[in-house]
Amino acid sequence: MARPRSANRRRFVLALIVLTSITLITLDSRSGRSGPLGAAGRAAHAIVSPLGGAVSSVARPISDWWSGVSDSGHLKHDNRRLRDEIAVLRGRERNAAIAKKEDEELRSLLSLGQSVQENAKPVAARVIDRSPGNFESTITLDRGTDAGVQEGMAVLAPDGVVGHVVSSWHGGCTVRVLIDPDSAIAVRTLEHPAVGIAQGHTGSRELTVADFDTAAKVHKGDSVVTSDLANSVYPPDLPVGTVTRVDQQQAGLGISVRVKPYVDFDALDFVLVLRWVPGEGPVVPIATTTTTLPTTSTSSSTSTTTGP
Amino acid sequence: MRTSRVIALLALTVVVQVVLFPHVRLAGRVPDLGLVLAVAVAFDHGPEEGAIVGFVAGLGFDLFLSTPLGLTALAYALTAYAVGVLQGGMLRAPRWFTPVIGFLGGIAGGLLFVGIGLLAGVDGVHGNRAFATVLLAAVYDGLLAPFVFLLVGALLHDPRERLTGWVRR
Repeated sequence: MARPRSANRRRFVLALIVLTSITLITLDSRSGRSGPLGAAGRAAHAIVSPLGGAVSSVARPISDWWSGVSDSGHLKHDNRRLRDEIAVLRGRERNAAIAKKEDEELRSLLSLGQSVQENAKPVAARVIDRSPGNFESTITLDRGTDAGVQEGMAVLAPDGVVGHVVSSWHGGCTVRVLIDPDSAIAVRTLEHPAVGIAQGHTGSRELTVADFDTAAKVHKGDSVVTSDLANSVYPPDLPVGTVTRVDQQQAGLGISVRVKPYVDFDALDFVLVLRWVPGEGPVVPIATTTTTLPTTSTSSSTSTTTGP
Repeated sequence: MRTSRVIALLALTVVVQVVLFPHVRLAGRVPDLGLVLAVAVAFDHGPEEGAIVGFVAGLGFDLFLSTPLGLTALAYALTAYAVGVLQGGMLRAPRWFTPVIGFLGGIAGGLLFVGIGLLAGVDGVHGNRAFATVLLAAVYDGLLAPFVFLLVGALLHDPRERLTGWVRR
């Protein structure tokens, strides 16, 4: 038989929870993750990160198999069984190919590390986890404050810019990737000197630059690189993505551009953290910038921007 | 004794949510395991217990998110409290009902998260895609709900005192 419970007590507990939550939300929003609440988050990450790294290496084949199953749609029973078997076999095949893939990625990263200039002070790191939530896009790396990784540092993959460090602790750090809704990065087109801010959106794999000048000559297929506009945390001239769509905004307010990042954020295994400080200039030589970009013209200028 | 089980269950929930589910996504979305746990506890043990479990599970999850600390905790706690209140005098629900509770709890919790997030100025919850995310995550929650309800029943449920809370013990 149920024990009678005071309605007042229930209301008191609920009110206490609501007040505590609102206080925490307010404090965290005002102080950011650099305050004492952020320290609690970093401590939690430091505790769970080793487990995340271990699970990540084990879960990859399972994840591949699960992706195959969950994306298959509504199929007939036999068809589904056969597809599942194929997915399992593919998962095993991928598992066997992981060592080869990692070897190729590390070679690629090594090449990138050798091509960046000394002022970048790159640190190679492994991706050990991905965002646990639905409303953000972050990755967790296995290098942190012990390797000199600090908040605000840019992160680079062989294909281009990944994002920047938003939280670091001993043994790991969290990186906000370009497609995160809170991400904003100063960019310019490589072919023409148009400068803007590229932002991510919830659920989208592309970036939007909403404020290109109307006079800017931006075309589909143009390459987009980082700009050193407004003390950006990203070194200039790093490859970001390619323009997939150009829209003229109403009332002649400017040009809205969609940019598809070069980096496949779901397939990242290894990255470079650049221990670069704003104002130190480009970290990638001109020759390397142009050869790294998948679709760019090698004759383009890579001079730093002068503003919009 | 039962309190220690609740703490162990909460810790396990947060670790599984943070470590395992990012690798097992459904249409690119992860479920809200802590929310389903809180809803299951609220359904079996009442709104007060559900709200406390939801708050702690959400707070544990918040530590790993870039959204403001307390946002998930508040959304989970309010959802679980509402489920506990609405559950009322329903003594024993059929097994098929748990996925529905999980799904509806996921919708309510997701919408609360988006609503509170908008008030708190969180950029990530803007746009129509946020609602698609809530819907897909709720479907995942519904699929997980039967297992979570079974687990809660096995670990916390006392057959002799089905509606007796563990908070006062």
